This record gives sequence, C-alpha cells and structure tokens, in this order.
Amino acid sequence: MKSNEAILTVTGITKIYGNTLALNNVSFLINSGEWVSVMGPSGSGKTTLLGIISGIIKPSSGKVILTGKEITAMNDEELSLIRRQCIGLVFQEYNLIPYLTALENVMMAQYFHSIVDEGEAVEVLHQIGLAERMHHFPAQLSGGEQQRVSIARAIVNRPLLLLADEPTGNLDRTNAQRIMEIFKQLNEELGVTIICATHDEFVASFSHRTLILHDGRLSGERVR
Amino acid sequence: MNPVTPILFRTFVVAVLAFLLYFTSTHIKAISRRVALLTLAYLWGLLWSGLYLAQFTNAGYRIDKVFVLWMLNTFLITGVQTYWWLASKNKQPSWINHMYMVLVFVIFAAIISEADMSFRHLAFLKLNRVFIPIGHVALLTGGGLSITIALIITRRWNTIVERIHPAFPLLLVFACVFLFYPNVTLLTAMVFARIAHDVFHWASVFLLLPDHPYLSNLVWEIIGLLFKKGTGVLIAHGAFAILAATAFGAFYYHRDIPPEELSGPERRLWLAANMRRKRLNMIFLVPVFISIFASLTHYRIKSQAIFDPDPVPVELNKDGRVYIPVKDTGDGSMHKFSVSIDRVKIRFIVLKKPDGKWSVVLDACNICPPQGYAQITGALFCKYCGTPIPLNTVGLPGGCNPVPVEFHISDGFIIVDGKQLKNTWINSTRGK
Repeated sequence: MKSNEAILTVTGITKIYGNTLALNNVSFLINSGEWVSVMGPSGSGKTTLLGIISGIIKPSSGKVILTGKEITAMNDEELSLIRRQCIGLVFQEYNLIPYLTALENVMMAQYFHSIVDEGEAVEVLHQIGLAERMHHFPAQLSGGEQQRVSIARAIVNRPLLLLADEPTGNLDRTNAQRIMEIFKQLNEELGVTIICATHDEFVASFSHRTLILHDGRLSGERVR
Repeated sequence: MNPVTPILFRTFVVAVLAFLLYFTSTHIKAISRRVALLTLAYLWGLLWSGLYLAQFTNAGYRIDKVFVLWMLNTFLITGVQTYWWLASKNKQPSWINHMYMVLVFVIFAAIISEADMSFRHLAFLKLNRVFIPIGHVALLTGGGLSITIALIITRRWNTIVERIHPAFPLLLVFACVFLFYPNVTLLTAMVFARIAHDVFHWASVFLLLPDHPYLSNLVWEIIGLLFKKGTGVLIAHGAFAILAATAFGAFYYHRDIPPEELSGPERRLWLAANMRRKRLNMIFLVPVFISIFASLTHYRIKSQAIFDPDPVPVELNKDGRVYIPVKDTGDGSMHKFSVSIDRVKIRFIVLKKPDGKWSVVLDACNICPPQGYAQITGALFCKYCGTPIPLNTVGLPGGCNPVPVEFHISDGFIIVDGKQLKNTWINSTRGK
C-alpha cells in the first residue's frame, strides 16, 4: 500500500522548553501508506515530535505539512478538525475513559468526529478481536485489551495517519506481538500510515523505516 | 400607557431576539464563531441605522424608523444570501438567481418610497424647511454597505451561508414586519378574512346554492367575526405561525439520505453536517415565534389601552353656537365632536379633567397636521408626533397642546361660539 506521495513533511522542527532543547532542526518526509518507527532513548524527543505532528504541541520553529496543509500555521479550531478527521492517536497509558465501556469509549471518538454509529463501532471491535468484551469497563480489561480498545478508538474514524507513542510500553511480549499484528493489518489492508515512537527493537522491526532520534537530533535512519 | 412604551416594548423584543440569536448560535457545537459573525451582520443594519438617525435627524425617539431601516438591511442581506445559496445549488448563477435579485430590488425600491414618505413627516425636517431625500440617502447608503458586508461574508464564509436555507431568514423578516408594521398586520388580517369569505361564497355559487338568503344570522355573525379587527389579527398571526411551523416540520423531519458511495466515517460526516445545517436553520425560528408572540401581545396591549373614539357629529344652533350636554361628557374620558360651519369641517374635544375643571380644545395643535389626539392613561397624545399631553394641562395654549377654544357652561350645557370655533380651526390648520 506504500506510495510515493508524501502525506507528511516535517521541515526544520525545533522545540525549546525553557533551557532544554527537546528537538533540534528535525526534518523528514513520510509517504502515504508507510509505517515508520521513531526510536531513541528516553528524553530523546520522540513524544515531543509526535505531539508536534498531531498539533498538540506548538514547535518553536519549523513547519509540519500534513496532506498538503500546514498544521503548524493552524489555529486551535482548525487543529481540532484535522485531528478529528485525519489523525488517530494511541498512547502508552491507553487514556480510556474509566466510566465508559469499551464500546462507549470507541463511540466517544465517533461522537467527536461526527455522529455515533454503534454498528460500526462494534464492527471495529470485532476486527481487533474484542467483540465479546465490548460491554466491559476498562478496569475489567487486561492491559493488552485496553490498548486494543484504544487502537479501536483511534481507527474507528479511518484516520489517514496513526500516531502511536510507545503503544507496547506497558505490555508483555505476547500482547505486544498481537498489537503489532493489528498495526500490520491496518497498514497493509487499509493503507493507514503509521508513525510509532518506541524504544523497543522488536516493535521497530515491523516498520518499513526507522528514524533514530538522539538528544533531539535526527541521528540516523534505517530502512528494512 | 405612555406612547413611548410600544416603542420601548419593541426595542426590548429586538434586544431579546438579538441576544437569543447570538446565544443560541454560540452554544451550538462547531458553528459558533461563523454564525455569530453572520448574526452580527444582520444586527449591523440596526446599529448603522441608529447611528445614522442619531447623527443626521436628531430624532432618536423615532426608533420605529430605525427598525424600518434595520428590516430593510436584513432583507437585503437575506437577498444576497439567497442569491448565493441558489448559485451554490446551481454551481453558477443562473437566470433564476438574476431574477431573484431583480425581485429583491423591486421590493426594496417599493419599501424605500414608503420609508421616504415617513421621513418627510419628521418635524425636524419640516421646521427647517429643508428638502433632503433622507429616506433614499439613508437606505441606499445602508443598503450598499449591507450588500458589501453580505458579499464579504458570503465570499469568506461561503460554507456557512450555503447551509442556511433562505426560507428561514425570510420568515424572520416577515415576522419582523408583523412586529413593526401594525398596518401590514391589519391588511394581512383583512386578506385572510376576504379569502375565507370568498371561499365560502364561491363554494355556494358553484353548488348553485344562493348562500345569502338561506344562512341564519348566527352563521353570518360567525363569518362576521373574521372581519373583526382582533380576530383578523389573530388569524393572520396564527396562519403565519402555522406556516412557520410547517416549514419547520417539513425541513426538520425531511429524511435526508446520504449518497450511496459514502460509507463509514464519511457517511457519518455527511449525516453530522446535515444535522448541523438543520440546527442552524432552526435558530431562525426561535425569533420568528417570539416576534409573533410579541406582536400579538403588543397589539393586545395597544388595543386595550388607547381610547380613540370617532367624533360625534353635532349641529350649529340657530344662534350660531354649539350646545353640548354636560351630563354626557363628565366621565373623565375625552369626547370628540365634529361640526360643519360654512363647509369647514371642525373637530373638537370636550374633557372633564382629573382636577374637576372642564376643557374644550380643538382636535389639532398649532404644529402638526390635524390628525388629532387619542387618550391613554393620564394623558392625551398626538396621533401624528406621539407627544403626550397630561390631562390636567389640556386647555393650556401653545406648542403641542391641543388649541384651546373659549366656552362657557350654562343650564347644563357647554356652549361654544361657532364663528370663534371656525376661526380658531382655520388659523391652527392653515397650510398643513
């Protein structure tokens, strides 16, 4: 599903927090349908980079262009719109709403995107193998299951770009493997572009390309 | 009731409408800022008109004229908006769009003439003997600026304008007509009554049933109800409310089916956009129904509070004097009489004031055209300029007071000299 059409262009991104230089002049390009890992040790700027790509964090300088639109020049309203319609987010801590069931958590993403459609939400949960657990609350689910719910929530609106920040950070190898298989299915069958920040070589091994960050600088790149 | 009260009442209603329009629009998800801007554009006409009048005519109390301008500006913005809406439906402006704009401007021109007539009656302009085509200047400037703003809005925020069906702002405009133009309301009421009558009459004709001789008095009394002022107004308002409610029902419950090629999130986006469009249009119905309610309330208050009897014709006695029985006029209400002296028709008022003294005055003053006075609680007011005259000062000369007439009371009659009455009337109404 990879193409030569650029979906994301990052140019000269720098982010400074007080006296700390989190990202230093980072530039790269990601094509549509590509699966890219961002690797680096803790504090290397992975989460900041994903935050800037999703528009949650404003860079100190530089440009991010997603599907031809410069998101670094957008206001909050425009950013919300593009996040709702183009980007799916998966976090290490799952960030599920504890008083909503798995199904309701997925439907919540539909609500903010447009309107809810229970049938469609059930179908997505079925795809990731959670159909039988959809009426359970997050506390009644295992870590792996919770992360799968958060993936279902991220993909229910068919985003063009899926950003995952340490999606397997809290999971054992078996569950990590399962999550990666879901990502692979999303990437190969639905053509979802994935950027996955990780420090785990096993997770990175699934991607087409790996960008290596070190002290906020892009220090290398590996192509599988 | 002070004559200013109806104006204040309408001002209050407009303020409530403006607030509701703004509040409702800013509290509906995802359409807030743009709708607020569009709302401001509608209200901008009001602001501009107010400033214009305050600056150039020094007649701030004629707020009703400001609203006429506001209404026209709103009408123009709606016109431009409709033009754009039709254009967006047809991808490019077609002859229908152009025809629509021509219609808008024809109606606009017709209303200009009416408004200009109203402006020419402003005392300020008459006293200064200046001819300024103030209505034309005001409306053309305001209209031009309104169109410019509407064009900027439609170009900059075209998507929001496309989502508003022109029927709904137009309903609002018509509701405002009800609110600000009582005469239009009465006319509409008569039209409805006429239609009801004609339907009944022609149905009888087609059935070859001569309706008139065979209908009982009761039936005619029921039909007659239609022609009564109050009933007619109620029917006109009711019919308009039903029209608005039908528009609401037809629009809101119309089942829109998304295009077949859409599925999943794209289909949901289409449905959500459709829902927002419907909600956006519904905003306009809130002020429509409030206007109808306010208009009816206003009409009710007004019809109850104002006493404006028809003059009772009296004859000149052989001695050249007019005799009015005291016992018929001492109830504290004004009593109007008309008398014809040497082919001059004169109207005058007899009033027993709250202080117990009697007054005889002309039904005219030295300034305004002789449209006469009506009575409200504690005062007479000039039907032309709206100036209230407290009852105890009726009979004092000068300014807006009704012109006093000499009289005396003898043997239970108020006696007025005919020659003196005629001369006073001629002097007071000359050249008006």
